[in-house]
Amino acid sequence: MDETDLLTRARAGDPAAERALYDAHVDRVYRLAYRLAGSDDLAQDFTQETFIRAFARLGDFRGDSSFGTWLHTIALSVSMNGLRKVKRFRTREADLDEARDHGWTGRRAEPDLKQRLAAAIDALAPGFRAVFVMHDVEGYTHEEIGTALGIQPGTSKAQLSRARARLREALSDFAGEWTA
Amino acid sequence: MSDDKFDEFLQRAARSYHEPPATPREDMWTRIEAERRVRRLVAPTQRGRWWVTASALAATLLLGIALGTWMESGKGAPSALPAPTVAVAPSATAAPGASTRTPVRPAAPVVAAARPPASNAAGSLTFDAAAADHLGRAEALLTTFNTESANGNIDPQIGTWAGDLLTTTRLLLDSPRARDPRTRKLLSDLEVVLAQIAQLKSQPDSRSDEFEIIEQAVRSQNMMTRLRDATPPGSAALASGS
Repeated sequence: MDETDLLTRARAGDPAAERALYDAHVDRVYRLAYRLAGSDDLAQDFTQETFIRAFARLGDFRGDSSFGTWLHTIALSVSMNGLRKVKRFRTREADLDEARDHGWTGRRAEPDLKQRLAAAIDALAPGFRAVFVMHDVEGYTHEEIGTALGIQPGTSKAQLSRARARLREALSDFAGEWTA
Repeated sequence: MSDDKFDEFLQRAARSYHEPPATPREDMWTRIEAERRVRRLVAPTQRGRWWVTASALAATLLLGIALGTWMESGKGAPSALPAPTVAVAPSATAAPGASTRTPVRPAAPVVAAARPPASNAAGSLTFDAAAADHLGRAEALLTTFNTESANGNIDPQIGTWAGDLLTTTRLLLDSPRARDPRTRKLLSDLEVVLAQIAQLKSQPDSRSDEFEIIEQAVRSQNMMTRLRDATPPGSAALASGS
């Protein structure tokens, strides 16, 4: 049965069709949510919310893009909004930690390349990070990214280029790793 | 050094960035189904009246627990039990259009809660039914809160609903039947969260921070899973009065 039939049945409330749609797309949605969140709990929350919203709004899906692309638009919106909330909360926690650690004079260990890269990706602006993670980490095309983020494919390319430039700058200490 | 070399290196190195584990398909599907079931019960079309119904049912439940506690202490005469009407329900009195004496149509577990227990075993069953019913309502409230806070638009009446549940939570905790340590811990944790929701300030600026604190408390204490585990299937239906 193709996806159009599944969508028709899911709109009519067929639980088996809903499950089939979930099975077809959940891996990619969860992977993207996990890459963006870096936490299993958050990734599960975002994935669940994505499917709950998608099934609730299935009547609004007109088929202008593929169901997968539409689903990813929801997944990105849920994940990025969720991460904004988490970030605000974590900032408060970090302030508390900083206050607690005040006066600590120990030397922090120099992070290795993997840690530095992760920190540099985390530090990218949300839009740049989403484009970078989707394209360079998860292999989405610029067309898919553009539709999911509501931007032109050319804008996606430009943002990827700027994200890479920032990462290159952040990793300049490790230049030998890629020039060798 | 060329850009191409760096891009290749970056793509290779970035594969380890937040590398996802295997997808927990079944776990997530189970929770999606449960969440959708609850959300359907508190659908937006019902929002105009859900809190009136919920408040009335909560008040009836409160009456049942109070009667159970009263009889447990040996002061009550079963034959003197009144019909299940709400004499003074704080929430019902605040409801637009609700009178101070609101007749209610109690659902099955609530009727059980109001009936005189014939023995200690029956008393335990009464408490268990009341607790399960109450936890089902709490689950519905937290789901509604979660949904509405995600949209940044919380119905102000949710504080009233939380206040009613808070009173019932305290009554359950004070009941001599509340002996199970797991239930007691759940009720204690729930009490704190309900108190936070009941005290939500009306100023929009301060509310978004408060939402986050409450959501974080619910998440860190695994509250929704614990409530679902403690609630038998069907209790959520009561939560919305359907």
